[in-house]
Amino acid sequence: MRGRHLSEERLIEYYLQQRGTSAADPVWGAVASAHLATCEPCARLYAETAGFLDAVRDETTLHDASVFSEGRLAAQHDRILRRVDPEGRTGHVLSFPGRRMVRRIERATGFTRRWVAAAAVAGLVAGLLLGRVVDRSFWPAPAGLTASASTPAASLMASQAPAVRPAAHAPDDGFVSVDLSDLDTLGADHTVVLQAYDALTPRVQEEGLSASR
Amino acid sequence: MAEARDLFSGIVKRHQRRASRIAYHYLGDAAESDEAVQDAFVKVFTHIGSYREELPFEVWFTRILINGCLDRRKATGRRLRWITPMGDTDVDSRPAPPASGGGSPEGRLLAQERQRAIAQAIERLPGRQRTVFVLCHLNDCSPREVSELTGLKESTVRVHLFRAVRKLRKLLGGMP
Repeated sequence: MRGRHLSEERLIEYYLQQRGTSAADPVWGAVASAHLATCEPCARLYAETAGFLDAVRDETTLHDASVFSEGRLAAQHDRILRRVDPEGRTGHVLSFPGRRMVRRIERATGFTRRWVAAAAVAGLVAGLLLGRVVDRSFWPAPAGLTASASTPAASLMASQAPAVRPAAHAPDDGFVSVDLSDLDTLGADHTVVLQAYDALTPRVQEEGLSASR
Repeated sequence: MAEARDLFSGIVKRHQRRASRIAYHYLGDAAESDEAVQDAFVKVFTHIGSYREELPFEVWFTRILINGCLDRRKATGRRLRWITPMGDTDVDSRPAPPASGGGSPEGRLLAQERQRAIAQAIERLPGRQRTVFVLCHLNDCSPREVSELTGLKESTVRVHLFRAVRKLRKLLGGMP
C-alpha cells in the first residue's frame, strides 16, 4: 500500500486474485478486500480498473470467437489429424535408381574405363615413336655427317670447296652469301682434279671488270 | 495407433481454441495462426517422447506454440523487409470479423470498432508486455505459469503486466 491507499499495481494484483489467476498471499487479499470496502477512492479506482480489464477481456473474447468459429476450428482439427496420420507410419527410403541398376552401371563403366585407359597408353606410345621418326626425317643432318656418308670424290670436293659461311646478318629468305675472294684462293691451289674445270670456267672477277668497262 | 489417434484428437479439441487465440494475438492473422497451431500440434505428436511429466502439458504445448509463432514473426519480418508495402499491413487492415455485440446494425458497427481499437492497442504493446498480457489476462494463465512459459522471473512478469495494463489504458483512453 502506498500511504493509506492501494497502488495501481496492487489493484491489478487484487483483480487477478479475484479472478483466480494469481496465487497471491491470501492474508494480503483479505486485508485489501477490507480496505476497498472502507476506502471510497480506492474502491472507485478498483472499479475502474476492473471494468476496463473486464471490457478488454470480453471484447477480445468476442472478437476471437467470431474469428475462430466452430466450423473453422473443426476444419483445423481435421487438418491436424490428416497431417498426423502419415507421421505415424514408419518411413522408408526408396533406393533410386535401384541396387541392380547401380551394379549394372558400375560394371559397364568399369569395362569402359579399362578400355579408355588402354587406348590412352597406346596412343601415348605411338605418339612418342612417331614423334621420334618425324623428328629425324624432318630436320637435316649436320654437313660433316652428310659428306662423310658420300663418295670419296664428293668428300674431296667438299674438303676443297670454298668456305661457305652464312653472312653475319643472314637475310630472312635463307640465301647464303659467298665471299668472292675465296674463289681466287681456290684457283691458286691448283688442285689437279679441278684444273680442267678451272680452265673452262671464266674468271668471275675478270668478267665483272669487262662488264664494268 | 487408432487409440493414440483418438487420444490426440481429444487433446486437440481441448486446447485448439486457446491455442488459436494465443497464436492470433501473436501473429495478427487468422490464416497464419491456423498454420502455427497446426504445426504446434504436429510437433507435439511427433515429439511426444520428449515430454516430461514434471511440466504440465499445457505449459509444454504453449511453449512450443509460442516458439513457433516467434519464428513465424521473424520470418514475416524478414520477408516484409524486401517487399514494398502496397498499403496498410498492420492491424487496421485485418478483415473486420462479424461483431456479435448488439442486435442493431449500429450496435454491431460500434462493437466492431471497439474490437478493432482493442486489437490495435494490444498490437502496439512492446513484445514482452503483449505476451504477458495475452497469456495472463486473455488466456487465464497465472503469473507463475507465464514465468514458466516465457522463462521470465515471476516478478518480471508482474511488472510487464502492470505496464501493459497502464499502456493499454492510455492508448484506449481509459475505457474501450
